[in-house]
Amino acid sequence: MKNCQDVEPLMAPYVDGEAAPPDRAAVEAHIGACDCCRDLVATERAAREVLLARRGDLRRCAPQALHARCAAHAAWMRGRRAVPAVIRWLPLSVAATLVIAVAGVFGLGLNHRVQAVAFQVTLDHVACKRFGHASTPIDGTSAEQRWLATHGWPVRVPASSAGSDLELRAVRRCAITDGRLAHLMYRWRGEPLSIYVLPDRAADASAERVERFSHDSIVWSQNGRTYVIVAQAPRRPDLDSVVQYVKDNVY
Amino acid sequence: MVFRRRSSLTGGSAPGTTADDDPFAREALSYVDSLYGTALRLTRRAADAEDLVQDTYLKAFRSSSQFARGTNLKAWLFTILHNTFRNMRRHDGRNSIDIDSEVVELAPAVDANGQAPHTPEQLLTRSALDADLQAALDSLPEVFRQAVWLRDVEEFSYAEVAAMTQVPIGTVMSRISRGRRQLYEHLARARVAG
Repeated sequence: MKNCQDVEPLMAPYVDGEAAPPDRAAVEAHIGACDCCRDLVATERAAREVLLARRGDLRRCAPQALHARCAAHAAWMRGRRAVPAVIRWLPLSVAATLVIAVAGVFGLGLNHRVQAVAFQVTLDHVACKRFGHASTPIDGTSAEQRWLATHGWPVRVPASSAGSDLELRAVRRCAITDGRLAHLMYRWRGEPLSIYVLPDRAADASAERVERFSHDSIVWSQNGRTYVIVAQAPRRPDLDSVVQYVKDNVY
Repeated sequence: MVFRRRSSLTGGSAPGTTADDDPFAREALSYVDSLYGTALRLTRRAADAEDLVQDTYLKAFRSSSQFARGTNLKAWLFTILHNTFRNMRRHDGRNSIDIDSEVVELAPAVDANGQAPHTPEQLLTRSALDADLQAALDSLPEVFRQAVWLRDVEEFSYAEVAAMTQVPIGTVMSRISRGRRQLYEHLARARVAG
């Protein structure tokens, strides 16, 4: 006859009614002689029955906004598949060019890192603004605390500013970069504006402008962090006031 | 090109309209609630759970060609979810609150207070209270909670749970057993305290 240790791994399938006949017989023979294991089986069965009975209540409904964002991902991929192959290859060639460029930057010591960063975050900004975010402004201090608790490194989140016509709407980790960047999402004069924060220094202290895909990116490093502001173009002069506001309100 | 894609998306972002002619997407999107519930159990934070589910769908749709038609799409999505969660946590540089250690695996299957357990019938009566059950689930070490949740709530097979959590099937069975027993003990203690 099997001992308690031998029977232990067989208990779950036994309770679930999925044990093979020889295993079922072995468990039954054992629990017929072992009060302790018989109690364990009863306990496990009771817990499973509780879970099965309450399964419907335990399952949560996802927020409608999440349903919408996931559906948008599906539509995006469907849209990509619908684009003719020749056109689909063009972004890949851009990506390939980027890879070569980045390799050149780091391999040959050229100073194009800012352009590479701007390229990536602009794509993320365009992708994220499709999915929307909170419809009402949020508190910057609370967002900072949540970020620190969740991601372990501090980010200073400039608050909404009536003077700059800037409203903080969300703070999320940047999905495209697997969370390496903080993505502060604002509405600026009614339009999406993103501030990306990198946890290290990747640019000079003086702000550098990069134009990609009809968007302006303004990149600079300050006190060991790198900031990138991204907004849709033809407002270049106006963006300066936002840059100054952010510089005044971060580390 | 980027903006061309964006405009095609904007019009198709409403739920229920994007996947009507795409069976893969339609079925995949039917699991948002399940994935979200599991993500909540993993992350314990609504915002993180939403991020996790969204990342899961991004990856799933990008690599949909790798999915073997006719196999279990739900299990495939859950595997992506768990892999993404592991990567997120590794990237955040944080360890789980519950340590997946030998100590946890060998945790005694008896009441920690040395009290006699209550009968299953008593426990079933008490379990009508959702809050107790939620608390009991939350009290489980993560590896046990994952195994019990995937098996008893999401109804995956042992093999599917093993693939998702990347542990041998025998370990999955053991975790399920121990998780159920600890759940029972927590409910029993709640009954005594209540």
